[in-house]
Amino acid sequence: MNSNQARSDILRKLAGRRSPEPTPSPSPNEPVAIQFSSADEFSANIANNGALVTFASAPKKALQAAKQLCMDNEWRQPPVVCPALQTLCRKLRLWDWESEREREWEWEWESSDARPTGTVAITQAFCGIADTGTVLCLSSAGNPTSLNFLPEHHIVLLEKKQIVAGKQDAWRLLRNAALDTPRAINLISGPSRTADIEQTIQLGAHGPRSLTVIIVG
Amino acid sequence: MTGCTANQFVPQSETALQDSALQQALSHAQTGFVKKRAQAIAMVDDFELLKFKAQAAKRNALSNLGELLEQFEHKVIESGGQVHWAGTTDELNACVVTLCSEANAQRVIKGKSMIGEEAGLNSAMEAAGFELIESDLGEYIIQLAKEPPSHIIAPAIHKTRKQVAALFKQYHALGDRGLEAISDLVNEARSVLREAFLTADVGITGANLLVAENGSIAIVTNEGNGDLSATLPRVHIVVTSIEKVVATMEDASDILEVLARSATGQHMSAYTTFFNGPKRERDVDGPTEFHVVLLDNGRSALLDGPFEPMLNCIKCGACLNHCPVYSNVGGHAYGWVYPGPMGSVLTPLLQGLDAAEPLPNASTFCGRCEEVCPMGIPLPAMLRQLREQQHQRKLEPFTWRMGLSLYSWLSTKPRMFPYCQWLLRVALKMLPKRLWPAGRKPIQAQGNSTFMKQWSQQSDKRSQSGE
Repeated sequence: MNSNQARSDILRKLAGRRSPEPTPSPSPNEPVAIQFSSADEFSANIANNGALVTFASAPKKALQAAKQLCMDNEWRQPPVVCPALQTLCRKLRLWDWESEREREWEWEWESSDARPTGTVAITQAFCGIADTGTVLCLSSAGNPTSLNFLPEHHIVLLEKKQIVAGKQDAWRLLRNAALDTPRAINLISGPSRTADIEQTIQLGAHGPRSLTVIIVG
Repeated sequence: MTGCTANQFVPQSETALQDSALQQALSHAQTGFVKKRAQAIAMVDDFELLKFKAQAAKRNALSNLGELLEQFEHKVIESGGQVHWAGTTDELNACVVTLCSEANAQRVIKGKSMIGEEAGLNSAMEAAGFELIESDLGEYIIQLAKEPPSHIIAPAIHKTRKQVAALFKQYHALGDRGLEAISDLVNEARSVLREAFLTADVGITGANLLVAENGSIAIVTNEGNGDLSATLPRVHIVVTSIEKVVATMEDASDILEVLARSATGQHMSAYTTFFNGPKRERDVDGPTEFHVVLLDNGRSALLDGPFEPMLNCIKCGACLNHCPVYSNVGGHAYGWVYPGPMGSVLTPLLQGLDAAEPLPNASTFCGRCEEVCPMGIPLPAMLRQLREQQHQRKLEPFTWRMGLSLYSWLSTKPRMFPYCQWLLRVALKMLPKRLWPAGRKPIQAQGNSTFMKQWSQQSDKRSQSGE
């Protein structure tokens, strides 16, 4: 492997360049304060992207709404809830996991329903981006990335006070939260789709066939 | 990539023009992409401002490319990943093959990557004995068909649903199941590829952007295949090129603002993900190894030269969708991985002008490509420069050079020039149409007389109005 040789070759070529232009400092006109946005603008835009939006006053109500959604759509399997929401979920006893799942409920990758056949996953978003209708999810032990992609249907909880105007505001919010850069930052703007056959949009290419955002607060 | 057949552009175009299935497929494509882009841009307050910001982010990155790449490398290592450098496509292929061997991999799932196409990574991987499966639906279709992509964002744009159904019938155990609707086809691919995602040892993806400040790589998809390829297998290998690095997350998002709108007419693609290193200590998912392979392949040589703006390209495909030449002949006629106007510039730069002689001439210079390019690449001006270089290096066909010489001689003869114009008019009118080659529209003489004649007739009017 001559990766080192290639590295020094490439960097040498790049080093022998004209003196680089000075990096422009961020424009002073740009507001440094985070611009938040209304849930209405956010929900209109993400609905345009093909997502469903509902509202709930508290996390407890949101999980109840999620259960209602599962029942209305006849998604019969108990959903896979991200570890961050499991304590609350168990306390509410929304699903009867006693018989089949209670003992393996501690997150276990191999036994997780999400892996091969899980129908529904419930996860948390870090923030929402109003201008493009996007939820931003951060990977962590409490919010594994694969839950955003493996299930047939994805339900995501978003706090109302975490809806910002644009992507730049989302990065500011993230910097303020002073987290280490997560392994994955997922910007999700609607369900999985493809137009690879005759330019016809088809939902549910590889990821979820539906995305439901429950705005909490 | 399998060999470059760009020099066969003309015969390949003739074939494409007579391929009725291809023409049908192309007709779906153009209207769809063009209309959706126009709608998306109309919904933005000031798209010119977004373009300006995206171009500024890119300019800043290209002027500090070396430093940013070193910073990116440092940050990737800090987050637990590894960076590998490849001067040529052979080095890239060798690097990826070695990484897969070291990981004891058998099955490899791959997300769409133009750098992978440029390097011919699939054949290198198959030659090394790995089972490689493309996961982007379009790429999967053309992998089954054993064809190269014909569009940089919609690789199977040249296939009709009937052709896709026939491929699935041939390669999948369908039994008596028919696949009539597009939804049937998508679901069939979903279930076959889901199995592949879950059993693959290595996931290979491209990257749309690299972020120097934190060592993240961004992948933009609509299907979610990039995310599954990057998350489920135990090793994630990113194959990408050096010009994709930008300084900050802010700069990356300035580019994302124009990418999806120009490409598919969406404000954002369904999934944009920034990946940063391997699985963390407490994570329950994610790969245990994270590798980034950076390819140069002639890009560093373009810096500071007349073709540096080509490195601005974010591979959105808008120039293909709006090109009258691409719309008629499709991508395969161009003979290499990058078709359309951006390909007509990039292929000669990466493969050599003598290997792609017809491409700089495969343009009507209508200028739409430059108009729709979100990154402000002066594509027609670059094509013109390539034509000049060709002429200086005497690469054009003999007949072409003769014609040009004849024309330049004639244009210095003010008396003979109008006479020849008249002669050409008469010839176009008189000669039987059947002399035109099959599949070509006969050129017809327009107007009542030659331009020169009309010009002199109107000279009185011009002098009256004081021009």
